[in-house]
Parts: sequence; C-alpha cells; structure tokens
Amino acid sequence: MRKAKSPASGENRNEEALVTSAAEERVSVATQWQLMWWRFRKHRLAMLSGFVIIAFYLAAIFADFLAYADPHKTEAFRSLIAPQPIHFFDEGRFSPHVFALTGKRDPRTFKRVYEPDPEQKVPLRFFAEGYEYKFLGLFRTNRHLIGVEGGNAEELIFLLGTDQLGRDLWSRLMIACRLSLTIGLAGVTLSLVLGVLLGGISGLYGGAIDTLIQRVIEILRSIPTIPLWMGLAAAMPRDWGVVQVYFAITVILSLIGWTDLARVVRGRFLALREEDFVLAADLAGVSQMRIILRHMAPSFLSHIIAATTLALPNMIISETALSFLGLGLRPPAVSWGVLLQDAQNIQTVALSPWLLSAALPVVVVILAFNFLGDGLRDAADPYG
Amino acid sequence: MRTAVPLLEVRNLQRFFPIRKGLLRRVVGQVRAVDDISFHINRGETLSLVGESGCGKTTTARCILRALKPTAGEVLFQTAEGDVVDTAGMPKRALKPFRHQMQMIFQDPFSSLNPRMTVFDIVAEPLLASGVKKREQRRRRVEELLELVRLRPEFMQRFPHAFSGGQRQRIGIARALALNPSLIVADEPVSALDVSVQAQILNLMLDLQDELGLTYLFVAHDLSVVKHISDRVAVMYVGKIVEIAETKTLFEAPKHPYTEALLSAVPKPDPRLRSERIVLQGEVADPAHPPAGCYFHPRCAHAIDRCRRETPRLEEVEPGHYVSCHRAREITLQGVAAQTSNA
Repeated sequence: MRKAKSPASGENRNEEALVTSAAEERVSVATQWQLMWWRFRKHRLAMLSGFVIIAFYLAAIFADFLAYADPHKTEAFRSLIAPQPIHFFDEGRFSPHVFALTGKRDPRTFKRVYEPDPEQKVPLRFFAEGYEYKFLGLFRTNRHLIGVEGGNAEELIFLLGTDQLGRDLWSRLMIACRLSLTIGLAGVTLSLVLGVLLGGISGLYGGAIDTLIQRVIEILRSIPTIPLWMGLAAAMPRDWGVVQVYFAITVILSLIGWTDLARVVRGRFLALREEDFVLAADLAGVSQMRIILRHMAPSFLSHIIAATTLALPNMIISETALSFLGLGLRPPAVSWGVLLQDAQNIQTVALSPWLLSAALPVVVVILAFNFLGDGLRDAADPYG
Repeated sequence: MRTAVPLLEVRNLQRFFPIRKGLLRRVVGQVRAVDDISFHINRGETLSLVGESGCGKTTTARCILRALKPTAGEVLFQTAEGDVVDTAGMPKRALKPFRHQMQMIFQDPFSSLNPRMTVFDIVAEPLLASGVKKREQRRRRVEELLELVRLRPEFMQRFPHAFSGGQRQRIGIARALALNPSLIVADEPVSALDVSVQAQILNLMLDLQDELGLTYLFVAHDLSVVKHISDRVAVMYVGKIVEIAETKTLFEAPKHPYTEALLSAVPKPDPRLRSERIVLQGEVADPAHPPAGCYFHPRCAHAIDRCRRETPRLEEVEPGHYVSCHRAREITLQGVAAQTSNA
C-alpha cells in the first residue's frame, strides 16, 4: 500500500485526491470494530464504567481472597458492630492497624456497645492467613488480602461493621458480588439467543410465521411479571436450594424476556432484506447462510451488544429488588438483595445505617452498566 | 455473428403485486407493475428502458434477473454454451448455473456496497461463490477487475466509506463483471451521481462494452443519458411498452404521443432550438386500476373513441419500429431535432 503514495503515473485526479495523509489511510482500511473502538474510546465515562465493571467482576472471582472473615460464621457477641476506621500511621511510621474493641451490654438499653481501645493496636497484614476456602474451586488455601498476624481476623477486624448475627459485612458484600453479578447471566444469554433466533426467523421469512411470532410476542408482553414470579417461586420443587430455585426462575423468565430484542432484530432483518448489497450477493450466487452471516448479522451485532449491556443492569436490579421483597434469593444465600433485607425496618436503618452499605455497589454497578451501554450504543453504528 | 437468436428475449412478461387487506390478508386487487411486455436484446447492443417513476422499469429488470419471480411470461436467455433457457419459470436452484451470466449494476452506490466489507471482499465475493477457492487467484482477478474499471488495485484493502460516489459505482461495476457476464442489467446506474461523474461512468460502461462485448439493459429516466448510451430504446407507460425503436429514429420521429411528451421534456442547451413543451394533463394511471382501452388515452391529445374501448397492441409500423397506438400511422409527432445544428 505504501508505494501508492508517490504520484508516479499520470493517474486520474480524482483518485489522486484519495491518497492523502497516513491518518486518513488508516481510517480507509479500518474495520467496523476498529471504527467502533475509536469512537468508544472518546467516550470517557463509558471507558471508566468499563473499568469499574471489570473491577466488580474481578471482585466476584476473587471474593474469598478479598474477604477476611467467614461470611457464614455467626457470633452473638459481635452483633451490630459499627464500621471500624483503619489507622494508617503509628507514631509516624506506616503501619496500618485498627483498635481492638471491647464489647459489653449497656445496662439501661440492653444493647451491646463496643468501645475501641487505643492502647490495643491490631496490626493489619497483607496476604495474611485466615479462614480456609477453595480458590477458584481449584485448590484449598487460607490466604486473604488482609488479615492479622497470628490472630483471628473474624474477631478483630470489622471494616464495614457486622450484622445482627455478628457476621462481617465487608466479607459478606464481597461474597454477595458473586451471586448478584452472575445469577442472571444465564437468563440474559438465553433471552439473547431466543430473541435473535425468533426475531431473525420472523424478519427473514415473513408471512404467516412472522405474524405468528409477532402475536406471541404481544401475548407474552401482556403477562405481569411479579405475580408470575410469585407463582413460579411457589411451584418450584420443595427440595431445591434457594439458589437453584432462583436460577430456574430467571431461566423461565428469560423465556418471556426475549421479546424486545426479537422485535429489534426482526426490524433489522426486514430492512436489510431490501438492501441492494444483499440483492447483489444473492445475484452473485452467494448462499443464503452466508448472506445472513456475512452481510446481515454484522450490521446488527453491535446493536445486540449494546442491548445486552443495557439488559444486564436490569437483571441485577431485579435480583436486588425481588430478594429485598423476599421473593428472590433468601438466606442462607448471600447476595446484595439478601443483605439489604436486613435493612428493611426503620429501626435498624436508624441505629445501624451501615447495614445499608449493600446499596452502594448496586448503584455503582447499575450506573456503570448504563454508561457503558450508552457509550456502546453511540459507537455501535460507525456508518450511521 | 450469432444475431439469429437474440441474447435475451422477453415474451409476454407479467408481474402483478397482490394488494392485501384486512385481518385475513385477503387479496382485494392486483397492482399490474409489469403488464404483458415483450422485447428482445441482441448480443452486444444496449437497450434502454425509459419511463417515469413507477412505470415498471425496475420491476422488469428484476424479473429478468429473477430477483423477482414473474407472474407469467417467458424470459429466454441464450447461455454462454449456446442453449436458450427460460429463466422465468425455473426454480431458483436450477437457475444457479447461468445466473452469473447476467449481473446487475445498482442505482445507489452507497447501499449497494456492504459497508462492512473491504473492496477486495466485495469484488471477490462472486468469485468465492462460484468456487474460486484460492485467495491468491481471487486477488489477481480483483486486481484485474479494478484496473478494468480504472481504479487503483492498491485500494482493495479499503472499505467503501473511503470512496466517492463515482468510485463506489466503479466498484459495483467491477463486482458485476467478476464472473464474465454476457448481460448487464443496469438499473439507473448514474442517476444518483453528480452530472460530472455521470459522463465518466457512462463512458466507462461504453468502453467496457467494446472491450468485453457486453450487452446492456439500461434502465433510466434521463433521456439525455439514454440518447448517449443506447442502440435502441423502449418506452414504458404503466407497465406496458408503448414504443420501441432505434435510438435515432425514436428521438427524431417518435410515433407514440407519450414518447413525444417525454422527449419534449428533455432540457435543450440551445435556446433557439427550444420547442413548445407538451405538458400532459392529468395524473399517471393507477396500475391497480388502469383505465379501459389504451392506458394513455385520458392524457392523450390525439385520443379518439376507439382508444377508450380497445387496448392497442405493439405493432411494427416501420422495420424495427414498434408502437402501441391505434393512430400511429395517422398522426405526425414532433421529435428532437438533431443537435448538430449548433452553428
């Protein structure tokens, strides 16, 4: 391609104008995905959101490592401890530590109160030993990001405080990432597949099949979700665990959740079917399958990616909302919605506001997904 | 010369589109987009199909290419092997062996090239579909084709968005030529281009015709373009052909009142040559409810009683000059004077 730069031959002036700067040449040969990436990169907020989302999913993968206390271990003597500040410096030297707490019962209110003891410093250690877990389900280990030397982290560190049963909130938040961020993925994926498949069939073949699928979509869209959810929750086998039940429900609900995407895909197919380049491919003898995969699919793949990014926060928020209402996940499963169940009455919120801390990751993740989705949607059609 | 059998012969071609209404999608009527037309194209010549928007030109072109299935009629095509096949009624699969012998050039150079494929992929796609498996072989052929349409082969890694309308049209032409077709159906190939580029593309098409011995069916509504490129011209009105003749004859001595009206609308650069423009009364007939008799009679200045009752047939009034008008032999019509009188 380089040799084209020298205006050697007396070529057409029109064509000569094409060979300009290296930057323009780069755009000329850029694929759809490169153009999309260049445009997406300019969207600062979306880029940032992308990193936030990656961080959250990393947290979900390394949840046990980031936690320091066994999220299921209850202890009445450590009930409702307030978040504990970390002190980074000790007499001018960098040495992160927390103060040890002594708990006793207030004789008038019968509430347990905790007092930090500035004399008793608990030094924090990185990669310390703690409770034992299976790392990525591969091997057993007891290393955690933070912990205390020689002591038992569960009894000494309470970064975000504890809940009513004395379980460490930070550790539970980390573990909760897992369920909250992943349980809906199967459902979203299934909706996606169904939406593209049925929407594609509807748009591609038209006629009676199209009419049938469109009427089915209208019927499905008229079903109210929450009563259906309650019914399904009641209908699941008794001996299934809470997570299994929830998973089954998300999968079943995805069977009615594909309608939006199906309509979009159908519309794209109807429009693309009439495109001249599709006719040109057909006249050239290109097979139907190749026309669909090579000519039609790439032009709405970007839209599907954007639609998916916008569907994921929905799945997270419905998990949180339904679990909060007691319809979704229930203890002993640990998810953000389950953690928020503890903050259902005004009393706990007034006296122990740290129980609301599970709301923060929900808000952050949802915002991040929405910004990312916006950025992707703007970048999705570089030829639009 | 194999002029005995025309390359393409269209006999009584019809294409109706059903009008459906109501919940049960009952057919309540037919749009007669192409209504019983017949013509032929000899090998190596250019036949233009002209007429105003909606007269069925594009539908005719697409029926010939079998992008649309004709409702009735025959499309007889002489294949490279010398056989004559009727593509009109053939199942799509049987069509495949000689489909590549007729290709299309599209009107819109923007929508006819997939923006997500490189020029190489676009031009090489017909080759790939016809079984040229080796990439190197395809690359050489694409290089050849790009040179043929006067584009630099170095551009083949670029995407269409890097090209202007005229250049895109050249890419479209290269794609159409990829499989050595004998017939090219060009559906208004220059009407979406700037006037300055139009001439380049038309001249390219004429050069290619000489070099490769191509036959063109040229669909257009711009008569000055048609005059430049075609050997013969067929005029369509509401799904029917009203007149076919050699270009010169048709322009100088039209026999159908509609042709005369069309010709009078052609802008003439010399003000001294300007004649009175014939402005047709009324609207174009609705192809779903065409009038009785001659479809043109409500707008025709020469209409007599017979025109309202009897549908005229396409008849040869002079050798090679076919007209569908009851009064073709009686009336004298004004053509366009030869433009050489520019003293």
